[in-house]
Amino acid sequence: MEQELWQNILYGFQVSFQPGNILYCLIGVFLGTLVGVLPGLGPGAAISILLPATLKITPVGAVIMLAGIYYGAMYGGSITSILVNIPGEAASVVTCLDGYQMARKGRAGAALGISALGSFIGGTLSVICLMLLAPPLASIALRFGPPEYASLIILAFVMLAYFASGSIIKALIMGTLGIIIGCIGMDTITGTIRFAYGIQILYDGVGIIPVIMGLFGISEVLLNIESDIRGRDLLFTKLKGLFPNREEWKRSIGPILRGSVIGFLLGILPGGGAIISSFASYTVEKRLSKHPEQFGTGMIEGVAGPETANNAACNGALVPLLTLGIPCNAVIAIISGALIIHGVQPGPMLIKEAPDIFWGVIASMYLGNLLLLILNVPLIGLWVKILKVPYLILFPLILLFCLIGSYTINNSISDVFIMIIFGVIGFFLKKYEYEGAPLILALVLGPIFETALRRSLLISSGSFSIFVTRPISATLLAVAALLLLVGAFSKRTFIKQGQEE
Amino acid sequence: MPLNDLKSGILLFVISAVIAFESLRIGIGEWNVPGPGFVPFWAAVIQACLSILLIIVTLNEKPAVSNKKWYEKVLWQRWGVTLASIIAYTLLLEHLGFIICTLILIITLILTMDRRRWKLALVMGVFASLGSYLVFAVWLKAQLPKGLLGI
Repeated sequence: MEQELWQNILYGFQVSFQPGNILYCLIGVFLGTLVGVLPGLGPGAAISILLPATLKITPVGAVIMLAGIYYGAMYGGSITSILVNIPGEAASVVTCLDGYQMARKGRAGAALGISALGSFIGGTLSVICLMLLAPPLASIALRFGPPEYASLIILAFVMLAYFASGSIIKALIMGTLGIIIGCIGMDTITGTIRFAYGIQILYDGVGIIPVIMGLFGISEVLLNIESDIRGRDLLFTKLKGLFPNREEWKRSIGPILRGSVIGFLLGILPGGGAIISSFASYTVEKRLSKHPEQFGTGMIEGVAGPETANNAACNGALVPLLTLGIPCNAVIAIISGALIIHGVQPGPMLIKEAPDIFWGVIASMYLGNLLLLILNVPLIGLWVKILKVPYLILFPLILLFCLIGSYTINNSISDVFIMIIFGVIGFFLKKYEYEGAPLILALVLGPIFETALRRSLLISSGSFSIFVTRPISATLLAVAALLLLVGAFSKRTFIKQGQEE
Repeated sequence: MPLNDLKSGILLFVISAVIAFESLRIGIGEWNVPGPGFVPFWAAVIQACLSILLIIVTLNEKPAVSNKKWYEKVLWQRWGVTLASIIAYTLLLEHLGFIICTLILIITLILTMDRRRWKLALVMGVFASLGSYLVFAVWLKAQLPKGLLGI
């Protein structure tokens, strides 16, 4: 078993070290850092835009590149948080609290350095966990039938509500709305067309990619143009000493190790992911600190922990996709879409049917994390310059890329219209304080859930006992019930506490 | 913002009611043979319950002191022109072709934000339309609509 694992890892490195794949990895992490730096363009929108561009390359190369964008964005996001107090993307919001304060005290270099090194360590540790955990999980998943999948997705929805950053009721409403939108188009079991009302473009259903581009790309632009778009005040201190000093190192090791564990575990959970794990890590560090009152004044612990956690979460999030075929957040859903477009079905069979993708992508993440570390230390000057690009120039380009991206998925303007419609919907959702992420997750999981649920009921001739008499399914539902109970009794989760602070 | 929650709650309830009725029309089937309307029906029922819950919770909350209306702060003209230009772009794309449409789009968008920056708008328009054509159509071999110019 152990020897087999080593062989697989070696095979993975052989795949990822092919010159083409190294190049895709490099392009991925570079673009990832770029979108992480640019506020108003997150990894979700960026991966959607680039997805059609990957159709021409090999499936392995495509996924290596898209995954690179995802974890690369986490690096980029921290740069803007620290230097200008603007989170480049949501997972770096907490980094602003102490990172920007460190920069004001002249320790911008150390803050950037520790977040790069922390991200590297967190990324690497979580890849090791991913490698150890995924194969046994995949073999368990092979025993999953429709009832198990249905129960698993119910658990996912419960977790989604549990981890909601705003109102739980609103998150659940977005979830049900996502399921309903997922039902549009042809019913896979009976072939009936649902909710299309003669509109041809709805017959095939609403694609995930135009929806994500609309909710995260177009709507962001619509939100941003209404406010002042002139240049932001940047903090330009001389970046001296990118490496933290000995004392700062000593204070950071604990947060980095804890951040790796928190990030990986929260990354695996559906509805979890980078954003939540960064908040959770910050809260934990503050609790454990001897000087909690100094958090927010430039504590390096408050930078090291969350930055490590959000990177570790990116890797953790790949576990359910590669083993169960279930994407647990919006970005992973697009990567899942990319696999399917390339004719690879994510799920428990992936490790057997496409070992090059499974091991190659995992190994590429070591490489990617190393590339990011090498890239970002000398390139910080470049990223700071990019920050100075005015939004006036940026927003037409973001819109253009979204338009091109949505058009080239199927070479049809119907996807472009779906994207624009969801852009407008996303704008109003933001204004009325609803989150887009649960909607997208439900849109992705909805069709899987529907098929699993209806098949289960067909098997059991309409009896719901099938969900509680099968051990795996019963366990999953029990965990879901337990979470609901805990959630009902504790009014504030630790994540919310972190956000309030 | 309780008032906003109240409005959105009512809207979501209406949506779920419509979906539930439509699902019944499609056919929810029997328990042992669930029909195509089964999942949307129950999803809509749950959504209806949740929206009622949201409305109840909102009604019990004290109204916020400063209940600023968000839509009074939005620059609707700018918002509308931006949205209209991307819709027009989509409609015209397959008739006029990629390069011409993109050129017009970029210039319009920049001028909407700042009417004085016409030089920047022109430069950006040319740069963005040719640049993206080279990257997407030539390098990545994406099939962009050709239109009038035949390129």
